[in-house]
Amino acid sequence: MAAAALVELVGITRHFAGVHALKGVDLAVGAGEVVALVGHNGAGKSVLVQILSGVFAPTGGEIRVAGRPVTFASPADARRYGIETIYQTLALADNLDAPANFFLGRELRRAFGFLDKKRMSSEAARALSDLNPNFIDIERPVRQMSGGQRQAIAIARAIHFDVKLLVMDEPTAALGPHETAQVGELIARLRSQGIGILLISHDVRDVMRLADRIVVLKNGEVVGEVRPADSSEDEVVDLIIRGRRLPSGSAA
Amino acid sequence: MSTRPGTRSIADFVSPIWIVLVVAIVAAALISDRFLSPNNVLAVLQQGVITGIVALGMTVVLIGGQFDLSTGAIVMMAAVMALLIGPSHPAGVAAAIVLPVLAGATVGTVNGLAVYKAGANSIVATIGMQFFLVGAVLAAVSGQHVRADDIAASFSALAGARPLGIPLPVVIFAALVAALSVVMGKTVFGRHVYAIGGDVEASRRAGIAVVRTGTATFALSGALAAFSGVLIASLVGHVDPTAIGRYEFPALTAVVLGGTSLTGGVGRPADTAAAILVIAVITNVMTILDYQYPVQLLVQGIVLAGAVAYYSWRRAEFAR
Amino acid sequence: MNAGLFRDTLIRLSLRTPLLPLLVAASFVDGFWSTGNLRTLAESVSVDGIIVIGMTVVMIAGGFDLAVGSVLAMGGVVAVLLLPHGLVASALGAAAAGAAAGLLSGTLVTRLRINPFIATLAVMVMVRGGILAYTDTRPVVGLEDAFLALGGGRPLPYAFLIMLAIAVAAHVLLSERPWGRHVYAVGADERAAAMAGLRVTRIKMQCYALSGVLAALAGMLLAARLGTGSPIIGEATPLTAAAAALIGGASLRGGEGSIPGAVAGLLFVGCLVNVMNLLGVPSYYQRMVIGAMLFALVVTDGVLLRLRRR
Repeated sequence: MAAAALVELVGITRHFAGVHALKGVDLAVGAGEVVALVGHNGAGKSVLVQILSGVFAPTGGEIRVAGRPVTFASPADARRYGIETIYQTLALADNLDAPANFFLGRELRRAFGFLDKKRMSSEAARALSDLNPNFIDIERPVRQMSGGQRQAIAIARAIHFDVKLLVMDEPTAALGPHETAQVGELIARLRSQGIGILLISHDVRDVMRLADRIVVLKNGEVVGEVRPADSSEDEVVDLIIRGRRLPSGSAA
Repeated sequence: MSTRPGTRSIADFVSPIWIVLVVAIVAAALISDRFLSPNNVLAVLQQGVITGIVALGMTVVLIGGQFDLSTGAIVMMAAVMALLIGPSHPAGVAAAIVLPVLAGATVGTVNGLAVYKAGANSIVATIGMQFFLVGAVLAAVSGQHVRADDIAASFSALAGARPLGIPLPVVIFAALVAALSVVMGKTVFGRHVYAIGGDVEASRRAGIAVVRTGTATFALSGALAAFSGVLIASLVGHVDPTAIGRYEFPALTAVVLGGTSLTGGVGRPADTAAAILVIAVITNVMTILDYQYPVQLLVQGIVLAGAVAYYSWRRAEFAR
Repeated sequence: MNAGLFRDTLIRLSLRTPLLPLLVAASFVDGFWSTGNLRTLAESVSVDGIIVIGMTVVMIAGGFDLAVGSVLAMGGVVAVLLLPHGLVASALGAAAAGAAAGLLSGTLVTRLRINPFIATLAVMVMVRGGILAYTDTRPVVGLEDAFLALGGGRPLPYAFLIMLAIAVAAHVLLSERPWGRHVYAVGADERAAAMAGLRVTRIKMQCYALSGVLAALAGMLLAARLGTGSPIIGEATPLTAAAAALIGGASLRGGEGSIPGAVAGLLFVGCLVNVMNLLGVPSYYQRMVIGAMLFALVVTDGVLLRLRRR
């Protein structure tokens, strides 16, 4: 990271009604780098995700994109800087069909704010079939679709619009082994295209396999950072649980 | 939009409410041979469009997942305003149409900001607004009947003109239904309203300007309700400000009967229009058969509860 | 979370404390402390108070009851119509009618899962239409001595004493009995309550039925005071009741509120109206004030939620 990181968080804090959810977090993701953020429930992972995607503003600290300080007034701003998020909840409007969700918030228009439905349908169809060739019949409310299909929509829309940093919130939490492997392939492909990835997960085994670096969050602070290449699963687990590394040898 | 068909059955194109409308018309014609007389048909339409315009605005608000129960008071406020402005000469006529509509839009904007910016419960907030407005209107006219001394022919023509024999309000209503169908079905604004009604948090995360779009739905509802009030002023030339609140309930009933989901995200302006006609037909038949207001009220309550029950049952079936 | 709770409490208290300044200010209004006026005040808050108690219970359970105004009118009409059969039959009949309306609301809300505002709006309109049709929109007159005596009472009106008794009973029920716990639990998180084995549907039905019974009995007491059961009264009742409950700490999302709070909220609204009457403020302005107050309360309710949510 000699050059400016793709996206950098510096001393980020966030309070909620007197509770310190984040107490000065530094985190950087470079181009083509997969950084994993791990920690217990309540460690501050999801707050960090929401700050990065513009849902909340931080109480203090700075967000830098390509070295320049930025502020996100809304999720639209974060998207404008190429930060895309795949939420664990997927954040789909259940009453709308796949193309509508795919282009939600950045609809293709013709004159006078009219929707260009034809182009949206065909572009969404193409993007979705790239990801999942069996995805047919996309023009029905997404509430009628399977979990895999819904996730495909969320992923497809996140990587379609010139993404620079992809934030993935627990992407494998609800998936079987086969789909988890697919997510792994996707991450490898995106990384080879120079896209930075921030992977939020509590599955240490997954993370050891997928990430270049693992950042451990505990009680709103970064308590450690390891490279899977030169550490073990147990070491990471120790960091998550105790907030520090045990002297080597004493780990079970 | 949300119910946009892919390759599905005719039920996706034609909501059940249109079938109900046809049945209601046939039944009405069988019950009373007076029903299909030209004068009566025009009366049904005339009566329908006043509440219909109110219902269109409420439909848009409800597609966004919220309720606007201040519309009845806005109707009355606008009618009184139009008459007080005194549409006696041409310049006054323009003012008597434009100013009440602007006032209605302003009230709607306040409602919208309270709901979308501050997160107020829309039902109770707009009932509070209704009370405030009714009090304000009554205070302004000291509870007296409002009558304009002298009304220019051009103002009366707003409700009284009959191009090709069709009352102008009916033409305006049809145009509004068409325009709103396009806005809701084919524009980015409409798409965003459906998205907000479907999942407000997902919409926010997708970068939609929820506060601005949502507030605009209330402003639209306020403006339409106010326009409806202007039409009443033009139609009858006087207003009894104590006879308030007979508008939002039939309008709400029509919105629900037309299939707009109470939780937002689903509904079509044209279906509301069909539902408005159903209610107008029922009310008309009851009037012909000499069932007065109380019974009509009772029937409307039953229709509302029945419609809500039917649609929630159907959605529950659909979801599993 | 605790700090947030503390701030909530502060904000809510800042809404509730105006009762004291209001009483102080009221002292400067001629005639506020006169026996006659205090009696008027007691009469007005007793009828609304009985209704607010039911409304608060429903709101704690996460619901709302817009039908209380129509049921109030229905209670008065039914009570008067049954007077020839005696006072007890009259009260039982009114209560039964109120319970029926409440159970209808409860059924719409629980079995058909209709939004409580819309469900009770429909019931409100049905009940209103029903009694208007039945009475042909004219008040019914009841001049039995025992009935009229019920509307009196010295030095305190019987209605006021009844209201206090109901308030104490409801408070005990909510805070000292398992049922009260369950009501709070259902209002806070219905799904969690169901998973904990509570019979959510039944509890909610009971809350709506209670609200209906109380509203109808309030209607009977009002009819006893006026000597007539009017089918057109009570239009503003749901608003006053909601405002009082909100001031008293209830929330539109359920799980919060208390009877003492609601009674304090009602005293505030009652004193405000009373003072406006003493000052000769026309009823139109009073409407404006109540409407604006409700609007402001609901906005505050919304802002509070946003502050608390993370």
